[in-house]
Amino acid sequence: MLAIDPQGVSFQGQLWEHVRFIVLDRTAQRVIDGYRDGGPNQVFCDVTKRRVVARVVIEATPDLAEPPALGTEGTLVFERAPNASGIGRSRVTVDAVVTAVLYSVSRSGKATQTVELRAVSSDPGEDPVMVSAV
Amino acid sequence: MAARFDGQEIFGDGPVAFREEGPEQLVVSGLALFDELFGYAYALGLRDFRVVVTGRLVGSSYSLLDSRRDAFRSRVTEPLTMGQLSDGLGGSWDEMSLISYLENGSVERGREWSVGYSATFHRFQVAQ
Repeated sequence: MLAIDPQGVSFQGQLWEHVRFIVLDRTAQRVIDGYRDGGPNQVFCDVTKRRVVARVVIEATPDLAEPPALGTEGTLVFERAPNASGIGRSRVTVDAVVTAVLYSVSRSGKATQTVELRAVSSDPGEDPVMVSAV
Repeated sequence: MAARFDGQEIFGDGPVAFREEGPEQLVVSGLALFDELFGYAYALGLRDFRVVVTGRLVGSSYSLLDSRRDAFRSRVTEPLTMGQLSDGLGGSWDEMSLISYLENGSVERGREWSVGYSATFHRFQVAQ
């Protein structure tokens, strides 16, 4: 999931301003492959361990707030819309743990802060990312 | 045709592979047999023929997977029972007994519920 210029971004109830992008990457952490005798082709594949990583890209300004410490757990909330009209806006809620805070500076001198978080779920059978219509 | 043991499709439709073991002489060291310290070993005769089946039981729910595990486990019997083992590809072995069903790892849940296993079938040369 990619949210460009998301609105109302907060973590642990603290509002995060100047957020330019939020990316939610989903990757398989354990893939089970299976074959049967009698042919070369795979007959079974399942993903039994998954990971959702959120990256929040914030434009660095002089008043940039101190980022949360690594290991901090909280709820990341933001709103995204498929177009400028706001029609189809949805709220995304993710319980997550901060795993990295990174900075980069472009040639033009603009700096960004990227906060990386791993989504966690209290129920292993439930998707940690909840999307609801606004 | 699906793989079977004694007419039952206990392997399900998940991944499965059959491997024959043997012929093999049972070789034992003299130290184990006679407490002798020389490097001699003794061949005691041919071991019984075995087929090892490795695979994965799969179910769309935990209860379905568990019923397939139970069906497999129930074929490890006391006293032993014999049946024909068939790999579903034309290979078959008569008078085989299932002597072990071992799971290699925990039950995994993704799109399906599944668990890996290794099952050993033994053809006894001497009546049990």
